[in-house]
Amino acid sequence: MVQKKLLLAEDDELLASLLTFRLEKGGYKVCLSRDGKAVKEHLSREMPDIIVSDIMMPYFSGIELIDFVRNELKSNVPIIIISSAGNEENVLSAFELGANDFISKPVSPSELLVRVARELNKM
Amino acid sequence: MKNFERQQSPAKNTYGSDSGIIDLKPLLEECMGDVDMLKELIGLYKKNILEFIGKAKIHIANQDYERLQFATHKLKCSLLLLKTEDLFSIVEKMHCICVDQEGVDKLTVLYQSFLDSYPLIEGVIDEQFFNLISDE
Repeated sequence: MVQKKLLLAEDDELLASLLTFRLEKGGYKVCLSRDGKAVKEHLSREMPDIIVSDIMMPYFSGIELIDFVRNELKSNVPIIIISSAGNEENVLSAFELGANDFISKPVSPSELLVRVARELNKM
Repeated sequence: MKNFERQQSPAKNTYGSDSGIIDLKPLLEECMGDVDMLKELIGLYKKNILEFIGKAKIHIANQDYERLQFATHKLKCSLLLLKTEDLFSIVEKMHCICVDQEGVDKLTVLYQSFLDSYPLIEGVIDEQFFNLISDE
């Protein structure tokens, strides 16, 4: 079975390590990018099967990322946004721009795995 | 921040919501029982806190509310992951003060409270981890 490629855009090393660990155990090939610039470079080279991105990242926010993927790269790749409580305005903007789902911090890895599988099953 | 006077006292020496101490078992479960992974996460938690302590000191001195707001925002997730709720409460208050740009004096008090509380909490985490690996 071919591993699904997942791009994780998260600058918090602690959360990124935990999520990468669980996603890899869940059978995904995870590529981790720690800031918006690295995400943009990665996406210009290769499109993953799904993107999981924090909203607040250095250089290039999750909102800008969605805009870039949907409007510049013209891709319908599923995008799940990670957001903090109290960031509802950004979540609304993310959905308006084409995010597929969002999950609140602190992220439960088990819940994320379910949501990732659900988005990939829709394809 | 109506209750600020009451809230700004240093964090009490109790941790977690019910048990009164930090419980690392839920995080160990998220690590699928992998103690090495848990150890790595605890190391990253400590690193994030030390970075925050350094950055916050500079941002408070410079009255740079925007950068301090970003730093508090970024730390909150780590604090929640290890369920260190007293530290979270302090950082959340710092975040609110940054949003409202209420003044450096309040931030200084809260920052000192964080500095006072963290060594105690770090000790509890280390003790909990030691107990966990002893149980293995």
